[in-house]
Amino acid sequence: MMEVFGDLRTLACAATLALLLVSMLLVLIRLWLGPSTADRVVALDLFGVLVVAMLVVLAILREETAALDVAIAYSLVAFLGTVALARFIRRHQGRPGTNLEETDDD
Amino acid sequence: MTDIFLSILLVTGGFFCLVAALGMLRLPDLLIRMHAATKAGTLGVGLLVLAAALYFA
Repeated sequence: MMEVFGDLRTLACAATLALLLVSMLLVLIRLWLGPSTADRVVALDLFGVLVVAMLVVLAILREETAALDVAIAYSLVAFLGTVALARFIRRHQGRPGTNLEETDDD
Repeated sequence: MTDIFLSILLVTGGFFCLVAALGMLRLPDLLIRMHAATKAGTLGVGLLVLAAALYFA
Protein backbone atom coordinates (compact mmCIF):
# COMPACT_ATOMS: atom_id res chain seq x y z
CA MET A 1 0.00 0.00 0.00
CA MET A 2 2.62 2.51 1.03
CA GLU A 3 4.99 1.60 -1.77
CA VAL A 4 2.22 2.17 -4.28
CA PHE A 5 1.21 5.58 -2.94
CA GLY A 6 4.61 6.73 -1.77
CA ASP A 7 4.48 9.25 1.04
CA LEU A 8 1.67 10.53 3.22
CA ARG A 9 0.85 13.52 1.01
CA THR A 10 0.24 11.33 -2.05
CA LEU A 11 -1.93 8.99 -0.02
CA ALA A 12 -4.01 11.89 1.34
CA CYS A 13 -4.37 13.37 -2.15
CA ALA A 14 -5.55 10.01 -3.50
CA ALA A 15 -8.09 9.63 -0.68
CA THR A 16 -9.37 13.18 -1.25
CA LEU A 17 -9.66 12.56 -4.98
CA ALA A 18 -11.72 9.44 -4.24
CA LEU A 19 -14.02 11.42 -1.91
CA LEU A 20 -14.45 14.13 -4.55
CA LEU A 21 -15.20 11.52 -7.20
CA VAL A 22 -18.00 10.03 -5.07
CA SER A 23 -19.31 13.56 -4.43
CA MET A 24 -19.39 14.31 -8.16
CA LEU A 25 -21.31 11.08 -8.75
CA LEU A 26 -23.94 12.06 -6.15
CA VAL A 27 -24.28 15.55 -7.62
CA LEU A 28 -24.69 14.03 -11.07
CA ILE A 29 -27.53 11.87 -9.72
CA ARG A 30 -29.25 15.02 -8.41
CA LEU A 31 -28.59 16.65 -11.79
CA TRP A 32 -30.28 13.67 -13.46
CA LEU A 33 -33.45 13.61 -11.34
CA GLY A 34 -33.77 17.18 -10.11
CA PRO A 35 -37.45 17.99 -10.34
CA SER A 36 -37.16 21.57 -11.57
CA THR A 37 -34.64 23.57 -13.55
CA ALA A 38 -33.58 25.50 -10.44
CA ASP A 39 -32.56 22.23 -8.76
CA ARG A 40 -30.40 21.42 -11.75
CA VAL A 41 -28.80 24.87 -11.69
CA VAL A 42 -27.88 24.46 -8.01
CA ALA A 43 -26.50 20.97 -8.69
CA LEU A 44 -24.46 22.27 -11.62
CA ASP A 45 -23.06 25.04 -9.41
CA LEU A 46 -21.96 22.51 -6.81
CA PHE A 47 -20.47 20.38 -9.58
CA GLY A 48 -18.35 23.33 -10.68
CA VAL A 49 -17.21 23.84 -7.09
CA LEU A 50 -16.19 20.17 -6.95
CA VAL A 51 -14.25 20.50 -10.21
CA VAL A 52 -12.36 23.44 -8.69
CA ALA A 53 -11.63 21.35 -5.58
CA MET A 54 -10.35 18.51 -7.75
CA LEU A 55 -8.05 20.89 -9.65
CA VAL A 56 -6.62 22.18 -6.36
CA VAL A 57 -5.92 18.62 -5.14
CA LEU A 58 -4.36 17.83 -8.51
CA ALA A 59 -2.09 20.87 -8.13
CA ILE A 60 -0.90 19.54 -4.76
CA LEU A 61 -0.50 15.99 -6.07
CA ARG A 62 1.46 16.82 -9.23
CA GLU A 63 3.25 19.87 -7.74
CA GLU A 64 2.02 22.05 -10.58
CA THR A 65 1.02 25.60 -9.75
CA ALA A 66 -0.49 26.02 -13.23
CA ALA A 67 -3.47 23.94 -12.07
CA LEU A 68 -4.26 26.65 -9.51
CA ASP A 69 -4.55 29.19 -12.34
CA VAL A 70 -6.82 26.77 -14.17
CA ALA A 71 -8.93 26.49 -11.01
CA ILE A 72 -9.27 30.29 -10.74
CA ALA A 73 -10.29 30.63 -14.39
CA TYR A 74 -12.74 27.73 -14.11
CA SER A 75 -14.38 29.16 -11.00
CA LEU A 76 -14.90 32.48 -12.82
CA VAL A 77 -16.46 30.73 -15.83
CA ALA A 78 -18.67 28.57 -13.58
CA PHE A 79 -19.90 31.68 -11.75
CA LEU A 80 -20.77 33.36 -15.06
CA GLY A 81 -22.60 30.23 -16.20
CA THR A 82 -24.64 30.09 -12.99
CA VAL A 83 -25.59 33.76 -13.33
CA ALA A 84 -26.57 33.22 -16.97
CA LEU A 85 -28.75 30.23 -16.07
CA ALA A 86 -30.42 32.21 -13.25
CA ARG A 87 -31.23 35.00 -15.69
CA PHE A 88 -32.55 32.38 -18.12
CA ILE A 89 -34.92 31.03 -15.46
CA ARG A 90 -36.01 34.56 -14.58
CA ARG A 91 -36.76 35.40 -18.18
CA HIS A 92 -38.55 32.19 -19.15
CA GLN A 93 -40.88 32.00 -16.15
CA GLY A 94 -44.37 30.97 -17.12
CA ARG A 95 -43.54 30.45 -20.75
CA PRO A 96 -44.81 27.20 -22.29
CA GLY A 97 -42.32 24.59 -23.41
CA THR A 98 -39.78 25.25 -20.67
CA ASN A 99 -39.91 22.83 -17.76
CA LEU A 100 -39.39 25.28 -14.94
CA GLU A 101 -41.71 23.97 -12.27
CA GLU A 102 -41.60 20.60 -10.57
CA THR A 103 -42.73 17.57 -12.48
CA ASP A 104 -44.38 14.64 -10.73
CA ASP A 105 -42.10 11.87 -12.04
CA ASP A 106 -39.74 12.12 -9.08
CA MET B 1 4.83 17.83 10.57
CA THR B 2 3.66 20.01 7.69
CA ASP B 3 2.84 16.84 5.77
CA ILE B 4 0.59 15.58 8.57
CA PHE B 5 -1.24 18.92 8.83
CA LEU B 6 -1.58 19.05 5.04
CA SER B 7 -3.07 15.55 4.95
CA ILE B 8 -5.55 16.39 7.72
CA LEU B 9 -6.67 19.51 5.83
CA LEU B 10 -7.01 17.58 2.57
CA VAL B 11 -9.08 14.72 3.97
CA THR B 12 -11.29 17.09 6.01
CA GLY B 13 -11.94 19.22 2.93
CA GLY B 14 -12.83 16.15 0.89
CA PHE B 15 -15.12 14.98 3.68
CA PHE B 16 -16.99 18.30 3.73
CA CYS B 17 -17.34 18.19 -0.07
CA LEU B 18 -18.84 14.71 0.34
CA VAL B 19 -21.23 16.05 2.99
CA ALA B 20 -22.30 18.81 0.58
CA ALA B 21 -22.95 16.32 -2.21
CA LEU B 22 -24.83 14.00 0.15
CA GLY B 23 -27.03 16.90 1.26
CA MET B 24 -27.59 17.81 -2.38
CA LEU B 25 -28.85 14.30 -3.01
CA ARG B 26 -30.83 13.65 0.18
CA LEU B 27 -32.38 16.93 1.33
CA PRO B 28 -36.01 17.45 0.36
CA ASP B 29 -36.38 21.06 -0.83
CA LEU B 30 -34.65 23.42 -3.24
CA LEU B 31 -33.70 26.02 -0.65
CA ILE B 32 -32.45 23.40 1.82
CA ARG B 33 -30.33 21.88 -0.95
CA MET B 34 -28.96 25.33 -1.73
CA HIS B 35 -28.08 25.65 1.96
CA ALA B 36 -26.13 22.37 1.82
CA ALA B 37 -24.33 23.32 -1.38
CA THR B 38 -23.25 26.77 -0.24
CA LYS B 39 -22.17 26.19 3.36
CA ALA B 40 -20.66 22.71 3.32
CA GLY B 41 -19.28 23.09 -0.21
CA THR B 42 -17.59 26.40 0.54
CA LEU B 43 -16.11 25.03 3.76
CA GLY B 44 -14.75 21.97 1.95
CA VAL B 45 -13.19 23.92 -0.92
CA GLY B 46 -11.86 26.48 1.55
CA LEU B 47 -10.07 23.75 3.49
CA LEU B 48 -8.62 22.31 0.27
CA VAL B 49 -7.38 25.72 -0.89
CA LEU B 50 -5.90 26.27 2.58
CA ALA B 51 -4.02 22.99 2.13
CA ALA B 52 -2.74 24.25 -1.24
CA ALA B 53 -1.65 27.53 0.34
CA LEU B 54 0.18 25.60 3.06
CA TYR B 55 1.87 23.35 0.52
CA PHE B 56 2.99 26.02 -1.93
CA ALA B 57 4.04 28.48 0.77
